[in-house]
Amino acid sequence: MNEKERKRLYATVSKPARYTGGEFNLPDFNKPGALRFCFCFPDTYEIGMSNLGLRILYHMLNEREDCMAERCFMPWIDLYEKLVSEHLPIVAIESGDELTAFDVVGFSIQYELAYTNVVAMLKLAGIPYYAKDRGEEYPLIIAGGPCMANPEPFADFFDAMTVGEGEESMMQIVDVVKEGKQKNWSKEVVLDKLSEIQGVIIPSRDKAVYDGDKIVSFTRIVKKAVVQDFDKAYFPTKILLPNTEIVHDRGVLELYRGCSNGCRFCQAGFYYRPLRARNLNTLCTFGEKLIKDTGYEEMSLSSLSTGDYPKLKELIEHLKTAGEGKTRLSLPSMRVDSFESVFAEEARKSSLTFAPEAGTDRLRAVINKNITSEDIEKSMISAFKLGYSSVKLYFMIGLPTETKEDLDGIADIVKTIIELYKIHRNSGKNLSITVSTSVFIPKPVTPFQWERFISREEFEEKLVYLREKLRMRGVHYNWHDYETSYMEAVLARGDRKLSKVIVKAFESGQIFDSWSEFFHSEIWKKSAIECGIDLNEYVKERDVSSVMPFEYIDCGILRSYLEEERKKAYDETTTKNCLQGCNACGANKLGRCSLCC
Amino acid sequence: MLLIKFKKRYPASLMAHLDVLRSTLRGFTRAGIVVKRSEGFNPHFLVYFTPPLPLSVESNAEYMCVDTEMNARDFIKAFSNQTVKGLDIVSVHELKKNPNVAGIVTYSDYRVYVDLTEEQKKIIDEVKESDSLSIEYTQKDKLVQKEVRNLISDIYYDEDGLFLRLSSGNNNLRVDRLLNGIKGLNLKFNLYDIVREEQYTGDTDLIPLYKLEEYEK
Ligand code: SF4
Repeated sequence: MNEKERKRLYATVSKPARYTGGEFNLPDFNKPGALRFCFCFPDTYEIGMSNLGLRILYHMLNEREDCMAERCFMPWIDLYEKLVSEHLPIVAIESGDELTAFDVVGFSIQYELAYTNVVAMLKLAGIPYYAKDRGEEYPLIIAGGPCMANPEPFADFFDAMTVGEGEESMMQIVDVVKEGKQKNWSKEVVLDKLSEIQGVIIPSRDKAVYDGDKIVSFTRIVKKAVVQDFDKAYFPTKILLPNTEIVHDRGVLELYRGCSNGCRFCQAGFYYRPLRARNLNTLCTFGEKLIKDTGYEEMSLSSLSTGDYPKLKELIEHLKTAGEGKTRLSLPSMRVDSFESVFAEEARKSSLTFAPEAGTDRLRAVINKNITSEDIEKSMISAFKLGYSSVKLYFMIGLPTETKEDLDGIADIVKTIIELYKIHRNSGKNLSITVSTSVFIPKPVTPFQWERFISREEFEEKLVYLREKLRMRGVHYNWHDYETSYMEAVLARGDRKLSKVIVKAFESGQIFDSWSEFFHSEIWKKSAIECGIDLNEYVKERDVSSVMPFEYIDCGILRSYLEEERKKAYDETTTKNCLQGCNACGANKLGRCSLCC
Repeated sequence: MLLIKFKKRYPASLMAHLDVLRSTLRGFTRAGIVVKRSEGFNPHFLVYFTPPLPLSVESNAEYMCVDTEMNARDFIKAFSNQTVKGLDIVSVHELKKNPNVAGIVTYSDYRVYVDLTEEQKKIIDEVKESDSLSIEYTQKDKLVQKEVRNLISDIYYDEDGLFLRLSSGNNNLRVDRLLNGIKGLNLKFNLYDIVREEQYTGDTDLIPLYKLEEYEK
């Protein structure tokens, strides 16, 4: 699509700068003959451009002399409808070319509720949804991202998928496709070669073997790709600066990968293991360069549990003086007492965020969230003394073994905070507390992967109870709705049968599932019935002896470890943080845990 | 104090004003340009723009004032490769004091790149000759009627399309509003067919803003 046509299209849609490109720090696209790769992100520009993984891979591929990587995001509803009604294709931001003009189209799939958008983007691109329906004339369509912990519901859409860290596999994939192009290999030969790369799944070949409804084995076990030397791993500092505000419009420094805490509901905490940290010096250099190359006024220190980074204090001290001391740092709230100077500046503007996840010390032991009521109180006191007057608290409902006492515990925490504010306040403002609850969703690669997802009736009951309990002055209660969480739960542990439900839901008008205003549970339910599938089967408790559809992916974590952790959960026994010693989860067989082993 | 004249063409023409400001400030940081900040509780950078155009309208003559100690030559050197696609520096001028660009603008020149029919040309001629012109437009869902002839300093057509010199700033007349409001004109144009060509201060003797420097002397 040429510039004139794009100008016309974008002139009348909301926030057009998200489609036009032309951002600062654009890579060089003058590389005749280079392999053409298009990253597709099945959500808006604002969300996609905030994604660190995409940022890394985009710049990494563009640094190659033989590769040009472009971007394509899901158009927002107004442009989407325009494209559909005018029969126009989606195009890559940089060149305005259609996706079919590329050698490789790579989807980054971040959450379950993006699956209909994947189908929508393929449709807009004029590419058949199912890999089996695409001939040699189509680009290689691949996928990666966190949802690869269980790629089964969307596996049939892709020629290949990459599980694990893209820095490792993506470069090798580009090498293979490039060689294939030069030597005129058929798609089948390219797939042969790709299957030799660690972390690459070929869905048409790597699959479950069924006996009736039961999975008995898999055709192959695929090992997750892991960056071995994370300190030396590629990290871009000359990054694209969006021309419109995005969700996280700031520099991001990634301190380490993996998480040492082992919260039993948390997929990321297990999936990204082994634990690998960057050296303090490396981070200081990256941090300085990032500010210089972007001009960002704010930087966040990102990791699953940043507060656990051993040299955090030194890093903060260093970064505070970089960028002429103008750079604001965002830090996890747990460490208020250790970093008063950082938090003092924020006290007036922002709120203190805490995620105890459960209301009582007992339930926190079940989920292995090692925060005690005392920790929370200590941080609150420090924060109130600094002038904070606003607190945000996050909890989950529907966790295994949850009782009314645990819900009472949420209200008790709130009451304690109100009391503490009276004593320690250092602000003229009234205290404002926001409590948010989400619904627990059993996720693959966690000790809770066999648990059930609560019923609508239980959810309603808990909600009514909590709403009553939290009726206090200055307290707001938000809750995540049931239906979207239910669909997320279905897809999280789903199998390949669900791909036709996804297509059906899309064809019935469902897109942007993660935006509650566009989510229609009745579409999903109707689509499932039409496909002869009972969604409720997917949210039930699973028998530990049964094989789940994603178990052909080896993320490192031993199944026996997960089973053991589940037992400990029911015994209300915690597992220590890996920083105090290895718990032998198995992840270090894929790479050394440099923080602790 | 530096006065900077710059272009805002596609794709930057689709950037909202706040985004242009944000992108400019980041550019200053990268370029090492130190901009003074206001005093007080919530200090902000002392950067001032002429009134922003509607999204999609392009311009060859936007202005901003930057409170900095840097001279014009060093500024150009440091900043010219720090802008996003479509935002380009035209010239930089040193001023002694803040001219309040947003407040002093009185007129703007526009080009509208359209083909006119004979009928339409006739109507434009009539507007030019007449001393009154009432237009209708909707503002906040209300139909408004307004006499605007005194806000049109000049209007004519040539082989490129239309040229207009319209009141700007405090007494602003939007080009699109005017063209859509002229009865019988039925001109089909897009906002991106409009290009602002210059901005002036003064009432009878118009001074283009880039000449403020001489005027100050
Ligand atoms: S291998 Fe040990 S240290 Fe590494 S993540 Fe697993 S339990 Fe923690």
